Amino acid sequence: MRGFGSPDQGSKLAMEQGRGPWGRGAGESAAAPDPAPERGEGPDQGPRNPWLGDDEPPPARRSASIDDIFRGRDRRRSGGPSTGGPGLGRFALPLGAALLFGALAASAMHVLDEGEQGVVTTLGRYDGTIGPGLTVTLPWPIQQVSVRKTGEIAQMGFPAKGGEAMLLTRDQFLVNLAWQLRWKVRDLRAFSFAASDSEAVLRRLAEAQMRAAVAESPFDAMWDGTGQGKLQDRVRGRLQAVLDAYGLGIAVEGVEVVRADPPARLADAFRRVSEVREDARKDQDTATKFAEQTLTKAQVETAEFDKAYAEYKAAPGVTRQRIYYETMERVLANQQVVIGNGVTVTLPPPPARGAADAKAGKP
Amino acid sequence: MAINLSAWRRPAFFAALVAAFGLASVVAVPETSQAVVMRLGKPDRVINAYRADGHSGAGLEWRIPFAERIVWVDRNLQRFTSTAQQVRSADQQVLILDLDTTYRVFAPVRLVDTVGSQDKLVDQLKAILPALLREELGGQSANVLLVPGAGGTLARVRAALDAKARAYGAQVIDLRIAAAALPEPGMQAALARMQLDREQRASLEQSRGSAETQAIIQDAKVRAAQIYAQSYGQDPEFYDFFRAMKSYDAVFGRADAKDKSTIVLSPDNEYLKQFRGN
Repeated sequence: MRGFGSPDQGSKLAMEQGRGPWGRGAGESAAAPDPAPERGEGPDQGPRNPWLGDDEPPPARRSASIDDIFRGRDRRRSGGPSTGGPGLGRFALPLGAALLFGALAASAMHVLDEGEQGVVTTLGRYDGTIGPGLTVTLPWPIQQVSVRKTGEIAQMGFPAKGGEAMLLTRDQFLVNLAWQLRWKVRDLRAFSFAASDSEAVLRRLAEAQMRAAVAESPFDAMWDGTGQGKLQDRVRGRLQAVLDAYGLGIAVEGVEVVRADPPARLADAFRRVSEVREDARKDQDTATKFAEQTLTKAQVETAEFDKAYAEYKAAPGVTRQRIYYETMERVLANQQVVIGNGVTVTLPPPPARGAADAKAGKP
Repeated sequence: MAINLSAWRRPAFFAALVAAFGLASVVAVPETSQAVVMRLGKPDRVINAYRADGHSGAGLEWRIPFAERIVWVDRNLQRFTSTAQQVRSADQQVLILDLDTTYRVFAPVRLVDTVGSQDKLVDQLKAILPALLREELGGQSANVLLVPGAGGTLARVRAALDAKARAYGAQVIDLRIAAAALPEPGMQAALARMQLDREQRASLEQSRGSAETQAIIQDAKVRAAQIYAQSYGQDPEFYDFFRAMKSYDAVFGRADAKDKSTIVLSPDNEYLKQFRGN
């Protein structure tokens, strides 16, 4: 309220001129009522009240005591720097009061969104938890409300700064694990009061649980992902148990491994294993294909034989002879045939080797 | 000044005085704090002292203005981390551990009497911890150290630390290894071990892969042979005839083998049996 303090040099000057210390304010109009009656008040006044502008509202509207306070101060304090403009000075008091009232009213009204909760404390003591909607409390500093989103699931990433977190596995290998924790405030009162920084406590506990759970699993289960489900369940279950024991009012919604990598320095060695594995898989595919072909061939051939055999069995002699003659027809029709007993056959010279090969390899 | 005191100033002055006095004679204690009321330098009572049943004593309380001073002590769970604690395991492996200790001040008067403040309590506990760790964890193998609870040793460390802390009015609730790392030599050794393991695994995969490939081929051959045997075994004699016919077809009957051979048939040949006309 020091701003409302007395004007000083200004007032002296004003006095000399027989006018109000602020002169005619910007807001003053020529049609303003004559301030004379007001000036006339308090006949023993030396310096006139600087606060009383010419367009000052009638005294009846004001609190007389407040007026007097300033009047009194004016007398006590003369001299010192002038503060505040003429308009501001006049409105400062109601304005300040309005601001103060507004601030107090604002501190008494709390509009919470869906999914938010607030802890109400009365002079430091817990006084209840409020939900969404408008709640009116006593103003500051009597009641305070600290609001937090409790409806939605919060996420927490590990490692915190996205760096490398090398964890030791059961076989003393190192795994670079990135994971996340999804959690929720289950009991806002417990969450607010059970620890100084419940979120930090949660982070440390989660880290410790994950470290321990990784130390129980072999590296390969981390790395190829087969052990990750178990790891996640383990961390989740144990973390929840510890949080409950601490009474932190936190519910663990889920633990997910985002990435489990070997140390960067060993990337080549790991790639080599993958390559070998891939090659082996390809070889196996080829072998499987070959096996299929072999079996198909066997089935086709035996099916042919079985069919012929079935015919043969129905009429052995005839079928056998039929097959014989049919084959002979095909064979002998295709070649030169010489019939004779003890004939000497002069074979034509065999065709040039290259030509024969080219011919044979054609089909 | 006294001359100018008007009728309204006196009550205002007294009102202000009463208000100041009133404010000085109450204290608003938040839920998360315990207030040790020191009367002329001596602890007199505790407002909102910790109670296991969760009952709260927070809120507005009286105090004698100016004669009583408040020392604030946290009421809720507190924690501190002792970083980079070196522990040598039974297998001579050095581990660098971060230990997270959770405690709570349950007897704030004792705390104020003995160490004065929470910061000093933490300093004391931090100073005690390394020796306890060496004593308890030192004899364990690295594998045991890292699993939850470190094979019961952490519980012993916690109990030992708790015993010390209780003298200061605090209770050690929990002690955990928050992080475990290997120092640089150990790190190199671990990386070398991993490298070797991968190399072994690569060669293992390779040989296993080829073995499996061979097995698949062999298996197919065996099964094919079984199929042949089952089918042809019905009549080996007919098979001989049938296969011979197929073979003749394949060698001489193919279109591209036309006129490549000259076949000399003896008149006695079976094929010419009817040709002879007898």
